[in-house]
Amino acid sequence: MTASRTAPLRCASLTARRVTATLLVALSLCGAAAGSPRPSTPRPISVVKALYAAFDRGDLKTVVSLVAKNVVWIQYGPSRLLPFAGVFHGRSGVAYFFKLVDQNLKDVHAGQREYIVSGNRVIVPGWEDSVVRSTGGHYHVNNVHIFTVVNGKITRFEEYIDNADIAAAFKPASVARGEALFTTCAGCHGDSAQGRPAMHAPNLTGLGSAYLLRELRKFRAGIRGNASDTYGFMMIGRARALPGDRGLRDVAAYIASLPLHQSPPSPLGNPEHGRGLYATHCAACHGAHAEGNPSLGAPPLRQQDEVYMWTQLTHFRSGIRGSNAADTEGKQMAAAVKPLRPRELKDILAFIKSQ
Amino acid sequence: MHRRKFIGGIGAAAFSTGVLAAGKPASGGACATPQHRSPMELEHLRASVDRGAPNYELWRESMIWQRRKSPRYPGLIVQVDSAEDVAEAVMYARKHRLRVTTRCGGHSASACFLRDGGMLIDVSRLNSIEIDTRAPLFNAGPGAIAREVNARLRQFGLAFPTAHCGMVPLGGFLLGGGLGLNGNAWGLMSTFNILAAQVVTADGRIRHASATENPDLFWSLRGGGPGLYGVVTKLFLKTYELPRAIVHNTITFGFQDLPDVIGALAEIGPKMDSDVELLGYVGPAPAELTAHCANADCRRAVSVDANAYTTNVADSARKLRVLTEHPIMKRAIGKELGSTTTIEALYFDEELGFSQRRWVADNVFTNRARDVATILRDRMTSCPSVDAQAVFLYKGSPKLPAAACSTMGDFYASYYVIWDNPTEDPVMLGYLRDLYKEIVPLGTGSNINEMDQEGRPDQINTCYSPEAWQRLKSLREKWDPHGVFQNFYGIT
Repeated sequence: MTASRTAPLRCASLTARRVTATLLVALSLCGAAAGSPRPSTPRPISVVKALYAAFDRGDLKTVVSLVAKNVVWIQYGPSRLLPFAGVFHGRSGVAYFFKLVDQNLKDVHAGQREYIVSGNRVIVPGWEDSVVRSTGGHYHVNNVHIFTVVNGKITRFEEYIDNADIAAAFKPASVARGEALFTTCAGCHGDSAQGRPAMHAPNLTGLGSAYLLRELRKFRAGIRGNASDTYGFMMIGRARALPGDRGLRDVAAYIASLPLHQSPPSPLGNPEHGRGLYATHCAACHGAHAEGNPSLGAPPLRQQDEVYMWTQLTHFRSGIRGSNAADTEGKQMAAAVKPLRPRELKDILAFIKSQ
Repeated sequence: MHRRKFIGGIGAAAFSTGVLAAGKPASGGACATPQHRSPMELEHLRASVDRGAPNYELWRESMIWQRRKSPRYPGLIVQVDSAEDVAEAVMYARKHRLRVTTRCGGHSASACFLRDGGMLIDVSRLNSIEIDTRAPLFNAGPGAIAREVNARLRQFGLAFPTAHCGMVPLGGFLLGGGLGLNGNAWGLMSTFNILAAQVVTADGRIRHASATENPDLFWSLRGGGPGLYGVVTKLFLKTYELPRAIVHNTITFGFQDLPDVIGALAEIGPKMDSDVELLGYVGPAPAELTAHCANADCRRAVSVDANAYTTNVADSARKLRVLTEHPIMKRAIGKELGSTTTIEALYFDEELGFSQRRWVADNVFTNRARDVATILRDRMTSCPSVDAQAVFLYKGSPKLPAAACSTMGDFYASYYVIWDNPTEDPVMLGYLRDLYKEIVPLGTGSNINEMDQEGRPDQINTCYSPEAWQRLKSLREKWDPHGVFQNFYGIT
């Protein structure tokens, strides 16, 4: 048996939809090519690595060419919880599997940690990172793939995966569950999520579940909230204490269901001076009246506590927030704030609060 | 310099969490149409969740601040918005023979509020703060959180000895004694700053307790903590003048110097002004100091913190001279002297080392702190948690006012084991419990808030003087003859 360690192969460029669409085309090509003489039989590990490499670059023609006509493709798990679990036969079965995957998942990423070879079998511990289309549930789980390779073709594929986390991702967000979990948030953010300036905790109402979930995920992953960001740092522990990604979705859904609270303005700047600056620097994303733009992921601002926003803008300006490479939106904000002077930022905030 | 990660507020007993702006949720929100099961008589309360409800487990787990969720299951969890709600819940419990416990922020080191069966009342939303600037005094719900309390008081030049961790609410922290900020100058134990309280007693009545009104109930709630026969719904509290500055000194030593450092603190403490908070801390070594460490265990370091709460910054150097001129300073491997800080900065300092993870704690008051330190020097290197922390807070065996809170010593010596992996629970709990078998005989008793009640329930009486323990028992029979409220953990 040999084992080798490779860098994780990302399939970022290959969505499940593309896999399916291309696979269906490629199947016919493979069928036409069947029976062609083979100069030599590649080793099983080479076949498996070729399959992952093809996945990684979106080369479905090669992927399908590596699967035997009579392949048995097994995704373990209860099909009542996992729609793509089951036993699939032949290339059409594999195509159907990918169709189910495509129907249910998006943003599918995967990687391999090592390759363990035993005779004609190749065992690959790895991971998968996906989003469930129907619920928005995200999972990042470990898996093990077992390939059986005969005469250079994959005749059997088995996947063992952490089904519990995937099943949780298929559960829709629940306001009732979120209400229970919100007990752990109310201390800082207020009983109605209205925010508490003395706790340095923002108003969470009106932000919408998508934005709340995105930021909660950032905290949980440590993408937002470094030790210089005093109160953001504290959110890391809070987000991680919620029960999994499902817990984040639940509590975001609950908060989004609460009535809008308008935090009172604080006199930081001159709204008339801020009007033009806002229109130039902020309106394209956050809307003409700071009402937010969900399609751009830009939150509404006019309900938010002014001092909290000022703190965040200074953090964006100093790099305390928005400097993590994975914080896409934070980086955008940091770039947007950079050319503006503190006085101008205060005027912009005053304009926002006048809306 | 990386400062200590003192976790003084870690175990706020049965209560904790919440903040200002109580009141019923606005109509139209999800909370207006709860989807959990609820006994009809309690349906008008904000939440009442029985064990058969679909989301019971989420509610149960949300009651506990830390991530180790002790496996005990109340029959009914009730969340209230007012003292009247509490009274109704108590009456319901009395009628249906459900024994009652109370939680606020759920910071109890042992989740002692979690019992099998009965009713758990969550009072975290009783979190109003009202300040009387003329007296100056304030009253607060048990759910008022430390950070907000001092932020509000600061506007009027006032302060209060909350827990050292800014996230801990007042309730359980104060009722269990409370080793608070600047404790030796601000009441010895924070519970002695309770001037009166509103309490729902076993008969469902909302009573007032003070030195002159229901004085034995007042005696009980100043330290009775999770063994209290009533639910405190409002606290009337003393305030202190906000210090002009808090002058902060941190001196760091190698881990092997622990006994000598604590021995030095025992010499320094009696000579120090009472408004200087003096403590020794053992925890993960700051990375910049590991290069100086020549010992076997370079992962840990000892630090001495001295916080002078002063109205005269120029005088702080004099106050701290007894420390800075002590011979132990020659062994220091790091110093940060004379910086000024704030209560808010101190809060965050504590919270850096105290994120929401799995943990267990225990403590003793002791007059043999050096001997305790020697045990830690020999045993801490084998602690399975690299993030374990120990604290030696100088108290100086002060004479306490008459109250249930009655245990004291020269030092408060506490230990916190912190970890992440649930499968390590038995190893972590086992380590702490073995360690305290050695330490407890060196103590004069323990503080109930951070005691490992789950690990040594048969020793909970050591959190009280024998006389106080006996009086608590007698008063329980008077105030709760039918056993509406649960007794201390481990006592049926």
